[in-house]
Amino acid sequence: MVIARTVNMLHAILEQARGFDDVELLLSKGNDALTRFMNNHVHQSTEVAWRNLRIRVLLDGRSGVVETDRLDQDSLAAAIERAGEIARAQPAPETPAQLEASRPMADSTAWHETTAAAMAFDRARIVQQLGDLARPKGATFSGAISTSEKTTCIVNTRGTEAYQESTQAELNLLAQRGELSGYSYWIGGDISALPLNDLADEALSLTAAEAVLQRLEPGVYPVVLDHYAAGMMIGYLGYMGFGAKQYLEGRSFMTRRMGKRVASTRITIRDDARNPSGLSSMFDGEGVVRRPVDLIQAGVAVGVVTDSVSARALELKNSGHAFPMPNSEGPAASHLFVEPGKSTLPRMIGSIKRGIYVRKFHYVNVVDPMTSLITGMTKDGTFLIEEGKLVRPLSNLRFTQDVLGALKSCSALSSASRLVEGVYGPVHSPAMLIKKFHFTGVGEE
Amino acid sequence: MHSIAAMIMNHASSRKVDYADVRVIRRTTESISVRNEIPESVEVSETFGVGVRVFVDGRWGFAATDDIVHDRLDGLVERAILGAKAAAVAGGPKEHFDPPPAVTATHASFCEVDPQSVSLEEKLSMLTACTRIMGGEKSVEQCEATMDAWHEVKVFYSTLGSQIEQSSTVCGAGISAGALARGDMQVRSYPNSFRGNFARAGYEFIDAMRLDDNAAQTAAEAAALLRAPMCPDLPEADLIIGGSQLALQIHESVGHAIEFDRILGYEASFAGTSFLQPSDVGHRIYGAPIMNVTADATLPHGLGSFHYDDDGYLSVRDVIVDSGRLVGVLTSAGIAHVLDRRSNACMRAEGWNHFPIIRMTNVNLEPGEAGSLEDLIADTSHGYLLETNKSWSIDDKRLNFQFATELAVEIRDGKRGRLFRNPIYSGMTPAFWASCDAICGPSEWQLWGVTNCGKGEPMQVAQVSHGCAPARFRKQRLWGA
Repeated sequence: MVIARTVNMLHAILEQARGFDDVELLLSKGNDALTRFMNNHVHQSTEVAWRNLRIRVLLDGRSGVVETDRLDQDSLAAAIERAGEIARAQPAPETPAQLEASRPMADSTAWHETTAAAMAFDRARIVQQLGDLARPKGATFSGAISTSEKTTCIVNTRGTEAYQESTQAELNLLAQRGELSGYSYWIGGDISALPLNDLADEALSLTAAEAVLQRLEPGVYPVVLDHYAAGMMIGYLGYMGFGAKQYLEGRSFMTRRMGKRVASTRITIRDDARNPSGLSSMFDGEGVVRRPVDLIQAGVAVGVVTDSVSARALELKNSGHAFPMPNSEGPAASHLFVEPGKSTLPRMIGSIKRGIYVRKFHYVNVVDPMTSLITGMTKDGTFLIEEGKLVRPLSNLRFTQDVLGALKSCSALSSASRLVEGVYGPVHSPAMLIKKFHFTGVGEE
Repeated sequence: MHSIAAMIMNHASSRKVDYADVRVIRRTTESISVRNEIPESVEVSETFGVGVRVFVDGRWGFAATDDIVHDRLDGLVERAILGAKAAAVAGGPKEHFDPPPAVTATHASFCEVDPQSVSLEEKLSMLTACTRIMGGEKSVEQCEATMDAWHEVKVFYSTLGSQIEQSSTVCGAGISAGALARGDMQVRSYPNSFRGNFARAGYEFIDAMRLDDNAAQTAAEAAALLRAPMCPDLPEADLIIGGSQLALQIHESVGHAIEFDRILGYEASFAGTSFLQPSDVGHRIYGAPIMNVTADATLPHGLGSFHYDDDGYLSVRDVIVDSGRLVGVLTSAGIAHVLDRRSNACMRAEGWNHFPIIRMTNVNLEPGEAGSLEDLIADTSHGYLLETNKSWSIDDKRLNFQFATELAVEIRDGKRGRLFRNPIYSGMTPAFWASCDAICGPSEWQLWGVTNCGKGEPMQVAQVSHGCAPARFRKQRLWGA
């Protein structure tokens, strides 16, 4: 019923926008709620209802785009007229813009009543439970818990009709005791699946040591990257080079390496937006069905993700990875999966004579996309490993490392995999053992 | 907009909240990107929404919507109250709020030429011409020219009786040339990287950039960088840091560190904390004696300028670092009392849909006495001039930083020498600012707009400017990668 009403509303706007060669409408709307807490108490409780209609008109191959959240008749008429003016103001392009024709199926498992119905009191009670878990251990929790619901609908004059309702819940958790801190994170569609006690234990476990932070000299060390650090690193790899636009323009580390070995044979990475272990997304910003794409297979660079424009340029089938078009970014790999291995975190740590364990990376940024060089800091759980054991907490370290270099020296991956924070979207990643990782600075004085 | 604000405040008053305010905001944005003579994206967007903040028994609640139908707006106050009451469930200390005096005010930022009065054809023509000129340079394959403008009207009402209307216009533009060869890419930008420079001003600001006049030089520098050797690895190098890069250095290693909410731990789980403690204010040596920093929301063209903040406090110019000593931080009506001070008006929200948090105003390094950039170069026997940011990162306490810039120029015996590619410098905040021994004078001082400052959960992106002149820092780690 809601689907029909929304689709019909957009078709009515398409009718209103006659006079152009083609028209595309992308309606997004939702409710976002978030409870933020510090030292076990809530300091911010927010609830936002929002909507956005993106109107794209095509005229002689030129695109004009207007976005608005004003959906009354007068505002819509003005927005459509302005989109036409924008299209007409542009010169005729050599490669005319085109719309896609697609009718993707909605994912009926992406919406959960439990999440949509969660109230501020429900989120505050979670904070209360966290406080109850932290206090006996002399620790505190800070972080944020959010619940949201979203509807996305795309229709165009080429016959595309795409509709999706989804929910999302997310917990970002920081445990602190003295100068020690530990991090954990969860994201999913159904808040009733939130493993609160496990997440609390995971974050608290790194604050239990009776030791002061030790400063370790920068250098090259073997490192065990917990899921959170490994996933963030892979997220940045995708940001730097898994898109076809970067590849075509020669700005990606993939450009000169397609078909070549770029990582250990243990490394297989694919983008799979329909994998139920991730946050499923059936269609992209053009309404095109998202298809799985192999990016690195057993260490060999094998593919990039495309949108309609880059797929035509590469003469490939569109893989459905577009942001709303037109855009400067090009397609993006936003649902990355790293194939797990056969090891475990304890086994990886146990195999190291002297090295470093890292829970999480902080403030990562790209230094050189052509060599996959990134920099950042460790945060909320950095430990010295000696003789196979976590022996003492370390001051945060700065790393400057080419990701492909790290992946070439990857000697083990955990069999367990987690959905963790990435760049374009969460990354499903195992923990990794990297033999050589370059630490270039220390956080504390 | 005023009638919506008044209606919501009437409703909030009837619900006996301790305090409430509302922001009704309309914002229009135009964003243009041209790549290699082709308009890559031209977008106009408009948003119009309302956000209500209520304070009930020491807890905040916030609700917002852009579904502006009057009979639905009553529910907004109820939802905000529900959030505030829910916040009490977890217990803990109550929040504090020092209400500002009630004011009625109207203020508009300075704008000589409305960017909407300039045709899209003219804008596209100028940007396309820039990419054509840059593309004329051999080896330059990626030529980008961008322009952004936005206009915002914000109406603020509070249950104390404040009625404030503020409107502002922001413009920005920039060009960049990407030279590619042998698996390397070198980018040169003008007047700054990441979509150029921005100011609270009209189209006259973009006109004054003379992007087309600078396109050929920008492309030539990108091509030259492709041929330049890698920056040498030096444990101790004297650095002259150019204005736009120094602005980002100030942003990361001063601006964020002095946010008092970070110092108190409110951002610990996301943006991070600070190496500073509340007791440092008035005592700690932040940098060299020539270091003077102000937080100034009253500058006419700064992106961090406004007339009243989102607590309803009048904007101020405050001294933060006085002759190297930390004397102030960025505060709000909620936490200034911890220092026994009055708010210096730093609360801002990204839009109608965000809860206000402490954001930088224009945090500026005041000019020094080293004259012009050429004077400073002439005064340097051996060092490196670093220009235009390429990459940035800093730890959660704002201590350990690492920046990459587009280029380094060696200085020998007071003269510019060899060009180097891929320079990186890194250091620790206190030692870095202590090493500053020369700051150029007022003639070199200018505001640089930073448009992508992220903080808060949900993430809020703020715009701020930093005024500075090129400055010299002794014995810093410099390397190439």
